[in-house]
Amino acid sequence: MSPCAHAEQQEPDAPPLHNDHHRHQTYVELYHHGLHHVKSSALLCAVGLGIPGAIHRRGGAATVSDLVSGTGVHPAKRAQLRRLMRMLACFGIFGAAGGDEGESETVYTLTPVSSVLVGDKDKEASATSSASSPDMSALLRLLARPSTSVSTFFDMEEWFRDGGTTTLFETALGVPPWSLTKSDAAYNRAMNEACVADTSLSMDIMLKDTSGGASSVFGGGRLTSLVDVGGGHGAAAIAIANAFPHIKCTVLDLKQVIDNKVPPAAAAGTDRIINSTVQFVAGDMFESIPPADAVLLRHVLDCWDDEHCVKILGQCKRAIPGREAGGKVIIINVVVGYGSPDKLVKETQVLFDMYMMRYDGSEREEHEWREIFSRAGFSDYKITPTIGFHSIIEVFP
Amino acid sequence: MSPCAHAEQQEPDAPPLHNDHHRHQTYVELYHHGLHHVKSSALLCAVGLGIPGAIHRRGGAATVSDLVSGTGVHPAKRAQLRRLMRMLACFGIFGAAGGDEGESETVYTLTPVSSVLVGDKDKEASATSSASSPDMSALLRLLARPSTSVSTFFDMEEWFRDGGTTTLFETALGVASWSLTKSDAAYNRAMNEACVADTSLSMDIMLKDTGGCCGGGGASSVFGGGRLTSLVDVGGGHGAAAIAIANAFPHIKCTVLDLKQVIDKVPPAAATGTDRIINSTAATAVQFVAGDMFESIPPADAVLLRHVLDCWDDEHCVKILGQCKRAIPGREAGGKVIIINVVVGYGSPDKLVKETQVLFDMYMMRYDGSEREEHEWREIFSRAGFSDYKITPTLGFHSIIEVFP
Repeated sequence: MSPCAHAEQQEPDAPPLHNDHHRHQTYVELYHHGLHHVKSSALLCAVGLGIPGAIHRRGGAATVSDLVSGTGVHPAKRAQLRRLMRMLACFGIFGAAGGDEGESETVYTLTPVSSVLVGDKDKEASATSSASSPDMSALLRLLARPSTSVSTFFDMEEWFRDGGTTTLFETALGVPPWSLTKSDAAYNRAMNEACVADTSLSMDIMLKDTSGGASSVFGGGRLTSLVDVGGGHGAAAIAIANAFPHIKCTVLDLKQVIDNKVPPAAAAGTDRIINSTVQFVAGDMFESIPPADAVLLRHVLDCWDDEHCVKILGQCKRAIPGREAGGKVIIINVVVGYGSPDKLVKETQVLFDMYMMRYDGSEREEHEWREIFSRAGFSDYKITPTIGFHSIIEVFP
Repeated sequence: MSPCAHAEQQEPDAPPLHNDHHRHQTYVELYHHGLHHVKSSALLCAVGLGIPGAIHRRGGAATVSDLVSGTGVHPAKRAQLRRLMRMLACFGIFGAAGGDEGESETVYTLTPVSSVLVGDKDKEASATSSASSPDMSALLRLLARPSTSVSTFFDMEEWFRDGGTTTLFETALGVASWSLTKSDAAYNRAMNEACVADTSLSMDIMLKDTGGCCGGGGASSVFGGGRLTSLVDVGGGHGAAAIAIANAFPHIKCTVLDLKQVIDKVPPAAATGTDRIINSTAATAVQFVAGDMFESIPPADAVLLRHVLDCWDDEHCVKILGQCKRAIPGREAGGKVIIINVVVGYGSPDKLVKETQVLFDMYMMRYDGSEREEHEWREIFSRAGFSDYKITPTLGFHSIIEVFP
C-alpha cells in the first residue's frame, strides 16, 4: 500500500503535525501543478512585451515605471505589470531588489535566463553586448506558442482513448507540422527562428565544452568529413566547421529547405565569421546520404518512430566507412535518465518527450536507443552526456 | 550591473566550468519554463482518464498494462501512456518502482497528491477508503481548464498594451465569468464542483489545525473561545465552509449569505461533497439567506469572507468591508471580520508556497481580482474604518486575517 493509504488509516486525531503538514503540502502542490501553465504564458507575455530588452537598455536594472515607459505596456496596466514582474521574479526569471512594504519601487534585474531573452536589436544597440548571449526568445515563443504547442495538448484525454494514428498535433490543427509550415508562414518562421536560436546556444555550449566532450567526438584528426543530415540552414554545421576547421561539412536536407536557405550570416544568428567550406545538398535521408567519415543526426531521430529510425540509421551506415576506418554516426538527442542527476534536467527531459509526442516523436531511454542501433546493424555505441539536457551518442558500425 | 552582465565581459576562454555550467543551467531552465504548461495539461489528462482511481482500485499499485485495462486508454496508445506516467512520476505526482532497463514493467503508486485525485466513486467502492481524502480532481479541472483558464492567458501581451478595462477573461471569451456561469452549464458545474472540492480539503485542514504547527493557535483561536456565537459566511455558496465550521464549533450559529440564484440551488446533503456524517444539528443550524453583500449583511458576531475580497478591486473591497462593519458589534463586544485569503509573501518561507501565491494572483488577475501583500490589506482595512488586524498563517498558501472595528 502507498504511504498515503497508510496515512488514511490513522485516527483523525493522530499526531496533527505530521498529518496536517502532509495535507498542507498536498494542497499547495495541487494548486501549483494546476496553475503552472500560467508561468509559461506569463513568460511568453514578458518576452513579447520586450521586458528583458527594456531592462537591458537601462543598464540592467529597471523599475515598473521604467518598464511602462520602455515597453508598449499601457500606463493603465501598471499595477498588473507589477504583479507580472513579481511572479516572474519569484521564479527566478528576473531578480528583484527593494520594494519592501510598497514604500519604494522594486528594482528588477536580469538573471542568466532573462539575459538570453534580450532581443538582438537591444544587444546591438549596447556597447556591452556580447556574442556569447544569443537571443533565445524565439525558442520560448515556439515552446509556449498558444496555437501550435499549448492548445495541442487540450484534447490529450480523448486522444488516449482513440485507437487511430492521428497525432495530437493533427487532432488539434487538422494537418501535420510539416504541412502547416508550408501553409502557415508565421508558424514556419517561428519554427525556423527557434531552430536557429536553439542551435546558436546549444552548439556553442557543446563545442566549447573542453572536458572531453565535443573535442573527443569531433577532434582527434581522424574525422575529416561530416554530413549534417536534416541540418536545415546549416547553423550546426557552420558551428562545427568553425570549431574544427579540418572537418569538411555538408548539410543534407529537403529541397524546399535548401532552396529557402537564408544567408549564412543570418542563419547562424551571430556575427561570427562564416566558414565558406560548408556545402548544401538537397536530398532525402530515406533515399541516400552523401558519403562522409561521419554522419551527424541532431534532433532528427526523436522526430521519428522506431521503424523510421532504423531506416535512417541504415542509410547512415551505408554512407560511412567501417569502424576501423573511423566511420561513425553522431547523434545529438535526449537520452532520458542519462546525464546530470539534477532534477531540473530530468524534468526537462520528460517534458520535452511529451512535447515531441504530440507529433509522434519520442525521447528514448538508453535501452531503447540500444535496441534501434542493434536492429540497424551497428556494433557498439558510446554516450557522452553533454551540457544541457541532451547527450551525444557515437554509434559505430 | 547584473551578475550576468559581468559574466558577459569575461573572456570567452575564462574558466570553462563556471561559464559552461552557467550556460547549461540557463539552457535547461529556458526549456523547463517554456514547456511547463505540458505538465498541467498532462495531469489534467491523467485525471480525466481516471488513472488515480485505477491505481486505487488495484490496491494502490498498477503497471501500465493494468492501467490500459483499467481505464479507457486504447491499447494502441500503451507506449504513449507509459511516457505520460514516466513524466508524471518524475514530478512526484505518482510514485514509480522497478522498470529498470525496460526488463520489467514499472509499478506506479499513489502519492499524497494523486491520492486526493482518486474519484469519489472509486473511494466508495473500496473498503480502505477514508473520508480524509476528498476528491480534488474537480479543482484541478478548473485550474487547468483549457477554455476558461489556460486559453485566457493567450492574449495577455495584447491586453497589457490596451488601456481599456476589459479583463483577460472577457477578452478571451467575450463575457465576464459570472455571466458565463449562467450561459454555460458545463462551466457553472466546473466552478461549483471545484469550490466544493477546495472547501472540503482546505476547511478540513484549517479547522483541524490545533495550533501545533503555526504556534498561534490557528482556527481554534479564531473561532473558539466562546465569545463568537454567530457568524455570517458572505458569499458562502452552498454552505460547505459554514457547515464545516458549524460541525467543528457547534456553539456558533452559522448563516450563509449569497445571491438569490445561488441560494435557490442549495442542495444541503450534497454541499459538503464528502461522505462525512452531517451534523444534523448543524445542518439545521446553518441557515441560508439570499441577498447582496453590497446592500446589506445580516447581523452577527463575525462575518466570514472566504475567497471573496480577492475577486474585487480595492474600491469594491472597501464597500464590502463597510457593510461588514455595520453587521458586527464593536470590538469590545467581540465583533470581527474573518478573512481567509492569500497574503502574498506571508506564511511559510517555502518556495513552493510563494510560487503558488503568485501563480494564483495571476490566475485571479484574469478577471480583475488580486492577491494582496500585507501592506495592501492594511490600506483597505484602514480606508474601511477598521482599527486593527491580526494575520494567522494557516496551512496551505492562505492566511486567516481577523479585522477589528
